[in-house]
Amino acid sequence: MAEKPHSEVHAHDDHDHKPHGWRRWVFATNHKDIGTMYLVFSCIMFFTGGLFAMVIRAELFKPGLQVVDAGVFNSLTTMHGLVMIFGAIMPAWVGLANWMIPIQIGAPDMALPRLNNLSFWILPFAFLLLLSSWLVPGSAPAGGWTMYPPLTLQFGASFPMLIFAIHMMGISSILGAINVIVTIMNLRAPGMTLLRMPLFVWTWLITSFLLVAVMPVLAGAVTMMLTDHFFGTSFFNAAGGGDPVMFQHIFWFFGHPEVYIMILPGFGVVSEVIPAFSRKPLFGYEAMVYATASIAFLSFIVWAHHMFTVGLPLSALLFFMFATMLIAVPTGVKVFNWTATMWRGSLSFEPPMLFAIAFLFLFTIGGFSGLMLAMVPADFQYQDTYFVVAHFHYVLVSGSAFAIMAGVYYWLPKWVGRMYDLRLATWHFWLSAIFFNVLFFPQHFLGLAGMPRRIPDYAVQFADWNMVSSIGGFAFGLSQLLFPYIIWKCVRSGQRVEGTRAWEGARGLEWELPSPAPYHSWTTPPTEAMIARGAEH
Amino acid sequence: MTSSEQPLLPRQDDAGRRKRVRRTTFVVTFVVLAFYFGFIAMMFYRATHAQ
Repeated sequence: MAEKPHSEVHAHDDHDHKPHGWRRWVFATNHKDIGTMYLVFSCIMFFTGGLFAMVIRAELFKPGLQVVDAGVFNSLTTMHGLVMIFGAIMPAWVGLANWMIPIQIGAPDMALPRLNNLSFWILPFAFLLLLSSWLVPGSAPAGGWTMYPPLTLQFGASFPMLIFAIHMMGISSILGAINVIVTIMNLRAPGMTLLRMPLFVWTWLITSFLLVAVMPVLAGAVTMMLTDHFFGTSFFNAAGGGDPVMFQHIFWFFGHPEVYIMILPGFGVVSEVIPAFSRKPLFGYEAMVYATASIAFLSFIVWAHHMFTVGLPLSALLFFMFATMLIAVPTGVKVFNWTATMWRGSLSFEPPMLFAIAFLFLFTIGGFSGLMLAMVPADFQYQDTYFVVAHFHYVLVSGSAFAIMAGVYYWLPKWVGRMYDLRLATWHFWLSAIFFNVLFFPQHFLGLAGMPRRIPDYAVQFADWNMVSSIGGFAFGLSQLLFPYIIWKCVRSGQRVEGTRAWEGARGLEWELPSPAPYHSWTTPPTEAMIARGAEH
Repeated sequence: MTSSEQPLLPRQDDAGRRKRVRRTTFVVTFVVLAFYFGFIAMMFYRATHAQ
């Protein structure tokens, strides 16, 4: 029997006590408003980091120095990494978490709404501080996003700005993670057991534990660097008996789980999108949960594969090599399950599904080049070449950015109550998918041929593929302008969505709410039938 | 109207749930602080006791 939408059952939801004007945003405690602010902020940072990438690709278009000098180039690569990781990808995931987690578990809001406000509003100030470092003597940080000492300790005025900005971003992420954990552990609707939760919620719960464990480690590392610079300690200063390689160990103890922090929520989104457009339940739901948890656990014991060439003992090299390869097992389970979900499904290829399938193919390519890099003898050759750049862009652009786009295109009709221009979004997909490969695939060849990363000029034998890569980069960057335009057009004049479900095969509590989702949702818990419908795995 | 003026939502009003929310927040915050100071303490120990 078809049930009435939630708002008709509980008319209270229609009384949207929505604050107006600037106060709505500055004092926001509503999870949907805060989610929206995170997503808008992330979009701005995505284009800021993208602009840096465009200048990098313009410089690398042909050999020689044409556009920027070497110092500015180094600042650009550093800032591109920092802005994309901490400003674009992570806030986008927190934005999606804010929007979706409460309505997917049947909670009225996040458990700690004021903390939620604080964790968002820290971010613009952190990035204002980081980006304004372009203006100080010595210009922006230029030692790479990994901030290795002693190079990073030699910065001018931008050094304390970088450290303080990293602390602020870390605090923001930690507060966000605490909020997600507390919300999921305590505010699930009655009947929403852990193994009935949508995969996006599961992956975010696991991601939050990763954040809570590793962001303080990064904060500790940069605090020690700060005291080395200003208070005469020698944690990482070899001249004072310290060890710069120790920084690399601590950094990558944070850095490798950080990769999964950026990817696990993407696994969650894809696990929602593929069943919806295959019109089948997710294949192997519990295996997916355990695989995610296994990947998260393994991410803590593989960090030294980022530093195989620093001179580790053979036993350590072997341990980290095999532990890294082990990650392929749970990842393989996931790829198998997504493929099995599509097997004999009634597939349709709307933009969220297209991005999810591209994720599946391209992330797998990134995973394979990751396995190549995991082999110690081979890594001695690939280390610090463009092969590594190609690898992590396949993992992070197709793994995170494409999954974010799949998520936004999937849930946008629920957020605004209108359908976007599907034709334009399909164009966005094909342009992104094609030019992503034109941009990054040649970088595998460049790396294998020996082109080092983080250089503004290169030998002439690398010229052809660099030109191809740059052309791909400009086209990829320009095609992303479609994304905000499609969203703006949808909000302004998209066709209204009838009923609760924007997609025929969509399942889950969010699709039990009217479209657009009311400002205050699930003030009365969802019924058992609603939860059961969403938990048909 | 800011959220502080809004009526409390039904299940957030529940005292037991509030207690659990506080307890979980406390535990997770403790873990964060332990990792932060723990790593610095570990490095400090290593720096002062090396050879």
